[in-house]
Amino acid sequence: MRSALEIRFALMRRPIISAPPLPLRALSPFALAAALLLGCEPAPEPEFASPVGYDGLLEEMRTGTRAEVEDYDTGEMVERDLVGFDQALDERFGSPADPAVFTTLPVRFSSSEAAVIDVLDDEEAETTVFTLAPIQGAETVPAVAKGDVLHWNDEFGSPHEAVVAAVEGDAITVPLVPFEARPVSLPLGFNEETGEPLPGTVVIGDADLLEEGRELYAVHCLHCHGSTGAGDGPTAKYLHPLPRDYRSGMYKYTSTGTGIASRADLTRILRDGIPGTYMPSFHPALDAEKTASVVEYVRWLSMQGQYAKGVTDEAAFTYGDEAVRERLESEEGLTREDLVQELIEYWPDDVTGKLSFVGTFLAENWALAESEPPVTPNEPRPVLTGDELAASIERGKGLYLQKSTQCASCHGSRGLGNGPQTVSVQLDAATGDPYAEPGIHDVWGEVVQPRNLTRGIYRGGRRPIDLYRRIYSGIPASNMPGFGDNLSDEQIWDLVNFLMALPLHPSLLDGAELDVSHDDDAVAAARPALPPAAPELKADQS
Amino acid sequence: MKWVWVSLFAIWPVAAIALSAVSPSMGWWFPESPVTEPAVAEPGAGSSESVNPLGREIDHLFYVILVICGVVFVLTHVGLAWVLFGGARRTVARYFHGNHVLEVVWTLIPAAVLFFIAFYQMEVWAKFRVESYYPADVTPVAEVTGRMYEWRIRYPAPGKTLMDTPQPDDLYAVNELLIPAGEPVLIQLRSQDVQHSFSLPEFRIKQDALPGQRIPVWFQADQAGNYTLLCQELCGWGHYKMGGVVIATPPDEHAAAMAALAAKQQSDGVNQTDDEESEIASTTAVTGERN
Ligand SMILES: [Cu+2]
Repeated sequence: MRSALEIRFALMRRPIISAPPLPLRALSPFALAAALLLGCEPAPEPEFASPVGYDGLLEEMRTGTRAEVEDYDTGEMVERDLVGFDQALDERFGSPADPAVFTTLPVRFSSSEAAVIDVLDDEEAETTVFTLAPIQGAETVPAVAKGDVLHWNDEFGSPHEAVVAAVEGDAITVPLVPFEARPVSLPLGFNEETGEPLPGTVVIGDADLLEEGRELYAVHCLHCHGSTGAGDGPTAKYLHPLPRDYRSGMYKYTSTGTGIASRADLTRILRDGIPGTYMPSFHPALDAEKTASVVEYVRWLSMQGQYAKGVTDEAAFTYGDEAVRERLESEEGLTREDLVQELIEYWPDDVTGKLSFVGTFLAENWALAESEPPVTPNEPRPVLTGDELAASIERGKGLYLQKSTQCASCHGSRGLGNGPQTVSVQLDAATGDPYAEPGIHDVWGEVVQPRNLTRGIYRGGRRPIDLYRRIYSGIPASNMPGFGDNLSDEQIWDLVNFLMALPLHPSLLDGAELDVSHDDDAVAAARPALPPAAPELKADQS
Repeated sequence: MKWVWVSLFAIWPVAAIALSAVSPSMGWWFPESPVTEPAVAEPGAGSSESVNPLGREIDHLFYVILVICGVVFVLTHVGLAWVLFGGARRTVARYFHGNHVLEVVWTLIPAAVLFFIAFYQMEVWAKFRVESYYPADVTPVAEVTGRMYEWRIRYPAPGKTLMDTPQPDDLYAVNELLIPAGEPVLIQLRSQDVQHSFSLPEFRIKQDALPGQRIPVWFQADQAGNYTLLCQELCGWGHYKMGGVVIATPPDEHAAAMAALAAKQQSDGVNQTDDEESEIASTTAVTGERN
């Protein structure tokens, strides 16, 4: 009998892979040379995917059409091209690789932008003169030369461009700009003192800042977050939690109190990373300037997703496939042609108007995230030591276990992130149907695990103010309710002290039971905590 | 044709020596330490001398071994060329059975050289590996934990010593290791997931981080400056991202920086100077503000 060792040697001696036949071997250098010389097929250009329901919209609405419409000035019927959503979206956003300038959005597109503070028409010379001023935060007007291209948007958000014909100081002469095509600030604003409309912005040249952001995004972010920001890059499927899908405009760790992140929030995430997830820190690879351009690009991707979805949802009300089918079935004698005729009649409202309405709404929300101060406590965190601190931690523990806060129903009575909600079946707020999997779902439809509070890993930052904000505003995108309305600052700081002590002393919750007694004096006025996916939280998604 | 092959072998020692001679001026030599702040961009303009005293000893070992190897390399190639040129001139093959004395000689000489190197490097190796386990007067400044794909750093609170487990007043940072210049510092190296390698090229320090182990690593920055921190163990698809910076400042500046970090970490958004404002300021300085 042979020993195991002998058998192994015998196996090893047997040739495992036979050499390829000679002709193949002779050809292989040529194949290699051909591959090296010809290279691979170029990667496909990334394109924004249509949001759900977009393809179901009435075709004319998407592609645009040509029809007789009443002229704005003369009142006569003239045949005109009506711009549909396809073209409008393309004009406003371009593609991920080639961003268009859409000054309606509070995005910094270019390093040379200027505010238009005065517009003067010269009807005879058929020219318009823009008087430029520095944009807010800048000190000088960027250099403009004859032949430069200016980009701006009118009050409906439609893009316009003009070639500079002459430059005289800050006065820029361009070919005549019709009144309705003038640059307008969006969201529409008025000077509080003079009552005059705030100036619009023109971009000189292309979206160079966004281009820079895109290049850095392609190097550092794209492989997880995807070329359109859908969170579907090639490495995304190996990650848990999944990389953020920016297109909903929702972020988890914000200081704004809503799902929209401010520039400072995104900057901080890029610098500090998100511990407990695969999002690493990009310090020092991205310096302040590079971080800023990546942040602009990410905000722009978010706004693109929100804009396309907003327009689709607005239009689907009346011209989505379901709405069209219902109307055709319920109204006797109504044909598809009638609907198209109706659409053409109301084109300025239903198409052009929606494009501008959604843009303004979006711009306002994102601008608010910048202009509103971040969530800040009124009461500073008390400086406590010894017995006072222990008492505060004890009060925090009481709040944690209280029925009215329901902390433990998700995070568990031991703080391990395994509360009863994690195993109960929840309803999808959007459809009203139960989810297939039990557990808490975020707005992207993924199961979220409530944080294990004993680990000492804080995704949104570990400073007391970070924990304060999580408790005060909740995490709208994860359906974590906010307690700002129910708890006083003092109570929130007690909770923060408790949460900061818990990882160091997990025994704090030894033998803890959910407090089932009802009326607790301290939080008697508290409304019951929002159940996950409550409609109020849904509102933040828009 | 045979002369071509003979010349090819003869050319290598010449080329290798020429290449070694020009490398330092081309920036192909050791990672350069900045002579002054900010870092010198031009290759060859910085000092290729390590900022770390231990690094300089490691460099010295490198040069000793380089000289030994260089001499052996040149001698063997000269010998090879001599044999080849001699053989190429002949047209008739000759058979001989070897030379016992020669074989003993060329076994003993390398053995002696290897023994010399083995004993000669012992002290430096002991300093790097053994002494770091028994640091006489070096207190750990931080715990550095490799994670896919970043370096997470935990400092003790100012004035306190680093404990093995997290403390309530510990300070946290990522990818940015603050150290005092001019004195030896020690870090405790850990890994949260897979193997990483904590590498400071300017310090000639490279130490693998192993999950489940806490490995002390010590080094010293003689000059203040910003130095590169790299992961040098292929740890996954994001390995290339795993860069950081070691910021060495004079002890008083270092203490101030740690105090600032402590204040930032205790921020409650009301009392403490919040870094948010300065961050917004730095962001707007670049992007401007619209609306
Ligand atoms: Cu690594």
